[in-house]
Amino acid sequence: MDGTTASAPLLRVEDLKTHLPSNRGPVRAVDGVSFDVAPGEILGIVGESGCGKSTLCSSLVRLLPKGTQVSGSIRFRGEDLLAKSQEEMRALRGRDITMIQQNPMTALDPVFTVGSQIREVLKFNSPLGARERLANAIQILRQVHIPSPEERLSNYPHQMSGGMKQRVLAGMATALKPGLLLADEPTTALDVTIQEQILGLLAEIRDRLGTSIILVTHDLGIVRRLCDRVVIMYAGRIVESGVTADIFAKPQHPYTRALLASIPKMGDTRDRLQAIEGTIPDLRDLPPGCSFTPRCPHAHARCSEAYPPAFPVGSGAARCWLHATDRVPETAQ
Amino acid sequence: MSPDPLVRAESVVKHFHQPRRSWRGAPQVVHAVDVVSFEIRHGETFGLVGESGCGKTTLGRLMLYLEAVTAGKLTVAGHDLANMSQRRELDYRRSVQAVFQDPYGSLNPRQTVLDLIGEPISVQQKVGRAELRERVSELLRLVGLPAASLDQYPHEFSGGMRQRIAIARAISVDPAFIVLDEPVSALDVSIRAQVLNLLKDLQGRLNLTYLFIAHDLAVVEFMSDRVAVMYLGKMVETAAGKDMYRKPLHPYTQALLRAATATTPPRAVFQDVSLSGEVPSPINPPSGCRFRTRCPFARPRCAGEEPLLRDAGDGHRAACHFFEEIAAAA
Repeated sequence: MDGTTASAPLLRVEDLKTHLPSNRGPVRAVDGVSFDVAPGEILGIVGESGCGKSTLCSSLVRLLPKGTQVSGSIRFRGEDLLAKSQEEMRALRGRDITMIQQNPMTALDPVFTVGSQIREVLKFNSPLGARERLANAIQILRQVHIPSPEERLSNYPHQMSGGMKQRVLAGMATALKPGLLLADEPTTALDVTIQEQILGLLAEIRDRLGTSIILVTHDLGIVRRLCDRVVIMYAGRIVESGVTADIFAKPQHPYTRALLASIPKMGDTRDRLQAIEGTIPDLRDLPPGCSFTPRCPHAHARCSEAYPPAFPVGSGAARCWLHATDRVPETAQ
Repeated sequence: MSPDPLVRAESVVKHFHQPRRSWRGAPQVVHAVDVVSFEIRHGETFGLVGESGCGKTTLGRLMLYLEAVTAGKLTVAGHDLANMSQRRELDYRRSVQAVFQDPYGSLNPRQTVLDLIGEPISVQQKVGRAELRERVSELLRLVGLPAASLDQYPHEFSGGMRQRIAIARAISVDPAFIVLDEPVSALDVSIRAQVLNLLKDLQGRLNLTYLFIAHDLAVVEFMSDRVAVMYLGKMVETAAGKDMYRKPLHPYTQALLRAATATTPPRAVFQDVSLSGEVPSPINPPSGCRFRTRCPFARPRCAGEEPLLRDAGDGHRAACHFFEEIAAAA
């Protein structure tokens, strides 16, 4: 692949493995994941609970429990994040790589006003003086469309609704024009009409600041609406990746297909849904070969022997033996 | 189908009183459900949609007789819930059951599956231990759980399987009506379909009537024969499921559908309504139409006069002064 093109990726993750410690042996939460994020791109990471998508997010900013084993490489603007010291990482977090959490109710400190929390971000990360910080904080709230921002600065988090808090958090996360914003289920705790507003805000942030966004979600509808590209995760691995429209139009991996078929759609006249039988495997004790094999309708002998490599299909890739061009699967270009 | 509906609500009101903020302040009243009328027919699934705080769960709890109605008349399965004697309550509990959202909170962690599912049965009738085991095994088979689960505890099961246990418990006393309050929202996408299919199968087999409460419009469409949309304690639109989704009349329904038509390309037969602002407080709801503060079509009349549910044909009713006009402009 030509690595010298103008659009070098902002983030390149290669063969990332994050194994979390547990009493019953390591949990292979992220197990050999590779993907790129281009500047200004919104990448969706989709999967069910326990597929490793949140651990993947925490791995990128290296906020992991003690005893976690991480290997592989995470290159952000060409620098390997796994080689950085904790000090250097701290300088990066909140400035170049920021995060919006799932639950806006707990992400803000209840004993400080919203204004002081925004000013704190500016204080530690920018050379502004106190008066400029205040002006800047008002500007930040205005940019995330909070009405009468001057008054809102003196509000405590409990005086705001969930949607409003999520706006404040989005404002704080983009205050210093970061290169990468990690949004981990940013709308899951919100109502649909508020969710709509927050998704609009994320798109606006990307357009205004050129920030790349990694959007972690279990909701395929959100992905369809917002993301340029998607990766689908199952049991710690990426099973399929590609341009959003292609994934929805022509899913290549049996899991992606089953996932799409199991969701009721508006205007659907089916009387029954196609359920995926069985449950997600235990990440401490994965079956050999492809971890989707026990639930897969297309499983054959080869699937339980070895984990398939990523076969290129269409705009993306799928890790499934169905796409092996049986003669030379490993060296297929 | 019998002519009498299973559930009939006439101007049902539920207010919650909150302690006054200070000794001089007026006591605060939360208008959770405010003058709501509807019927649920035998054997149908009645879907109830709305955002959090719209009163859909309160309405469900009223039907379960977990809350008492403040005013109005609510009849469920032949029982008048405004004045029910204790003796009749046991019979009522047999005919009306519930499945709740969170299968982690709704099952007692210290009870085995046998006790969990068997308890409602032994409350209702005298059954020997051996017969109880047999009947619970039969229920487990019905909801697709292995018979070996009988002596296991809830923590040994995944969320989807727990919800199956909760469903088995609900059908154990052979009810006529089940209130399903967000039964799949806590479950993973790949598990949801299994549970929804199970609910549909059981309905056909056991001749059940469902109240299906959810915020996910696509799931409600899949499950329901008729759908009602609630906003801030009011029912703003009700229709047969397919009519509601094909031709929503109320601007709020249109906005909800727009926000939800994400996994399928939107069918642009209605106006592109996108909402700004947030749901006002149910303590002090807006005058007139409660939706007017967020409605892009609001006019002076909306503030002065409360719109009532009006029929647009085929039992499709909407509470908006201007729905004909809005539909014509689309």
